[in-house]
Amino acid sequence: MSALALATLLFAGLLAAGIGLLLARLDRAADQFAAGDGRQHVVREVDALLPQTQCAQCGYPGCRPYAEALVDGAADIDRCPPGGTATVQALATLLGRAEIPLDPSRGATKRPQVARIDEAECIGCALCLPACPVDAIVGAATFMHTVIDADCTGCERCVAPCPVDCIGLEPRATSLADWRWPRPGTRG
Amino acid sequence: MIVRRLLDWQSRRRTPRSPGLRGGLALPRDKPGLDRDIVEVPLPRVLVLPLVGHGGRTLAPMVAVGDRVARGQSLGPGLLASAAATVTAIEARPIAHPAGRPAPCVVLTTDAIDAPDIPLAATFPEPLRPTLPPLERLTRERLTACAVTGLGGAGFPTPDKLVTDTMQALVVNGAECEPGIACDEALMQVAAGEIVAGALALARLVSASRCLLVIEDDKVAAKHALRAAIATQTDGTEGLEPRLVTIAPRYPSGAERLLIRLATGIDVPGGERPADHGVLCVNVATARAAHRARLGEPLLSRIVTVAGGRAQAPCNARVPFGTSFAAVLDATGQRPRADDTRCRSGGALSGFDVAYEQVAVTATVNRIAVEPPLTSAPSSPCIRCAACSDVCPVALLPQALLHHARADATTAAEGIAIRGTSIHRAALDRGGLGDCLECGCCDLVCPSSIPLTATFRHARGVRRNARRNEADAARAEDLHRRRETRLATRVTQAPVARPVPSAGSALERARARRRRSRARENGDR
Repeated sequence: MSALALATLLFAGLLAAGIGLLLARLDRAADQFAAGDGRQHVVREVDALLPQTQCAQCGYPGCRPYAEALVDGAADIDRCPPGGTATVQALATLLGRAEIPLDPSRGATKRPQVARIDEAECIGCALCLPACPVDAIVGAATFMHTVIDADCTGCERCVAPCPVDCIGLEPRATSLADWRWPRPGTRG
Repeated sequence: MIVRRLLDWQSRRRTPRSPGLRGGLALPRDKPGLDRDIVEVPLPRVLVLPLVGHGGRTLAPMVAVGDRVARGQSLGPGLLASAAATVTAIEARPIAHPAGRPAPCVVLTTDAIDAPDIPLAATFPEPLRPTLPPLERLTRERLTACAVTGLGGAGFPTPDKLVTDTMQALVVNGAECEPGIACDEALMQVAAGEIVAGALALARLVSASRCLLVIEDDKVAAKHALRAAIATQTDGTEGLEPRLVTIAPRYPSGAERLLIRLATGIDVPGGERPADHGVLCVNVATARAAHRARLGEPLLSRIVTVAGGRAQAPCNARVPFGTSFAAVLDATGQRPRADDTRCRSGGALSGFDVAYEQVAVTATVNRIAVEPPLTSAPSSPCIRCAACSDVCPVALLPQALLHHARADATTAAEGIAIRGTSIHRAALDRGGLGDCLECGCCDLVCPSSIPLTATFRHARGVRRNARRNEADAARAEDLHRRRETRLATRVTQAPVARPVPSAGSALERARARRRRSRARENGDR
C-alpha cells in the first residue's frame, strides 16, 4: 500500500519537475525573443513606415538605424522630414506614442525631388559617388557624372561633397501618368 | 425526329451563340448616325498632336519648331504627323484627357493641299516617303512603324500586345455595347472586308489557331456585312477560318475581359493581360488599321461618333488625328451651339467632359458629344438594396467596396499610412477592387444616386499611389542594404571620416555661383 503511495508521490514529483523545467525553458526562449528576434521584428515594422530616402536628416546614418533607435526609445518620432506628418502619425499609432509636430531643426518636408548634375560644370572628381546612399550616381574619376533618375531618392547627401557645387535638386517631373481620378465631388 | 432535326439545324447554324453575361444591363439601343454615310472631315489648317503616350507618360519630341514634316513622319515615339505640315510650336495645350490639364503637344500647320506626291518633292530637300511599300505578311515592326494603336477607347499600342509569337485565339471586338457610340458599327457596315483581312493578318502574326469576330446580335447590317466578308475571304487564310460569334446585346459585354470570356471561355483576372492567357483582343477598327498597315498606310485618322442631346445632325465622321473638337463639330454641321452646352469625349458612361472644344481628336476619342448641362441628383445614404451587386458584371459587392473605399480615402486624405497596410485597403483588395471594370452599371441602378464608379476610380488611384510608394521605398531600401553590405565586406578600404559641410550652405553657394554666372552672361550680351 505504502509502496503504491510512494510511487504515486514520486511520479507526481517527477511530473512537476518536468513541467517546471519546460516552463523555465519557455521563459528563457521568450526572453531571447524579446531581446533579439522580437526586437528585429518590431524594427522591421517601424522601418517599413519610414520613406527609405536614407537622407540621414534624423541624425542616424539611414532609415534602419533610426528605426532601431525608435524601437529602443532613444529617439523621438519627430525626426523624419521626408515622411512628413503622415509618417509621424503612422509611427505614433504603431509605437503607441503621442503625436507630436515635426522637429523643424531637422529640415522641412519637401515635394519629391531628384538630384541633377550640371554636366558642363562637373569635373569628374568622384567625391559624390561614396556620398550617395543608394548608388544612384554613375561616374568615374575625370569622367562626367550623372544621376540615375529612377534610383535617386532626393536625399541631398551628394550636394555637400561637390567641390564645384554642380549638383542641384529639382522637383521630380510629373506627367499625366501621375494623375489620378479625384474624389467624387472634388475637382482635381 | 423533330428533336433530331432541331439538333441538326442547331449544329448547322453558322454563328454559334455564346452563354450570356452575368449581370450587366439591357440598355436601349441608341446608335446615332447609322442612317447616314460617314462624313469626311476635311484636313484643318492646325493639327494639335499630344506628346502623351499610353498611360499618360510624356513622349520626347523627335522634331523641332520650324521643321517640315511629311505625312506619316514620326513626331515622337508612336506619334505620326497626320499630314504634310510645318511644326509651328511644341507647347502645352489642353488635351482630351479626364485630368483637364494641358499637356505638351506638337502643333502643326498643314500645307494648303494635302497631296503628298507632287508638292512635297518640290518643298523637301530630299523626297520623304509618305507611306511604306505593301507587305505580304504583317510584322510587328510594321505595326510600330504605322503607329497602330487600339481604337476601342483605351489607346493601348497594338505592338505592345504581341508579347508572344504564339497565342491561342484572336478576338476581334465588334461588340460596341455602350449606347450613343456607333463608330465601330458604322465601320463594320462599310469596311467589313478590311476588318476580316486585318483580323486574319493579326491572327497569322501571333499564330493564333482561332480567329473570332464577336458582334452583338442587334447590329443586323454589320453582322451581315461581316458574314459576307468572311464567306468571300478566300486568299491568305492558310487554313485559318475566321468565325463570327454573336452575343446578346447587353452592356458592358464589349469590355475586353468579359468579351474574351464570352467568346472563348478563358478567364482573364483583373490586373492581368489577355496575352498572358494566350488571347489577343483588338477592336474592329484596330483590325482594319492592321490591314491598312500591311498595305503601307499608317494610322492617321479614325471614325468618331458625333452625337449628344444638343447635336443637330448626329453622324459618324472620319477625322484626322489632331483635329480640334470644334473643327469636327463645325464640319459635321453641329453649330451654332448654345453657351450652356457641355462637350464630352467618349460615351455617356465611360467618357469624360472636356473643358474646351479646342482639344484634339486622338486615337482614344470614339465619340464627341454636345450635351445639355449636367443635372445630377444629390446622393443619399445607401439603403442596402443590393441592386448594385445584382447588376455588377464581375460579381463584386459595390456597397461593401464603397464602405471601405470611403474609409480608405478618408485615411489617405488625412495622410495616415503612406506605407504599411490598413484594414480597408486589405478589404478592397480582397473584395476585388482591381477587377472593377468601371462600367458604371452600379451607378445607373443605384436608387440613392451614389457616385459608386467615381469612388472606385479614386480608390484605385489611391491604391496605385500607395503601391508605387511601396515599390520606390523597397527599391531604395534594397539599394541601400546592398551598399551597406558591400562597404562592410571591404574592410581594407574603410572610409575616412571627414567633416562634411552641411547641404544647406553648399546649396546657397551653388545658387550664388549661378547668379554670378548668369549676371556675367547677361553682361556679355
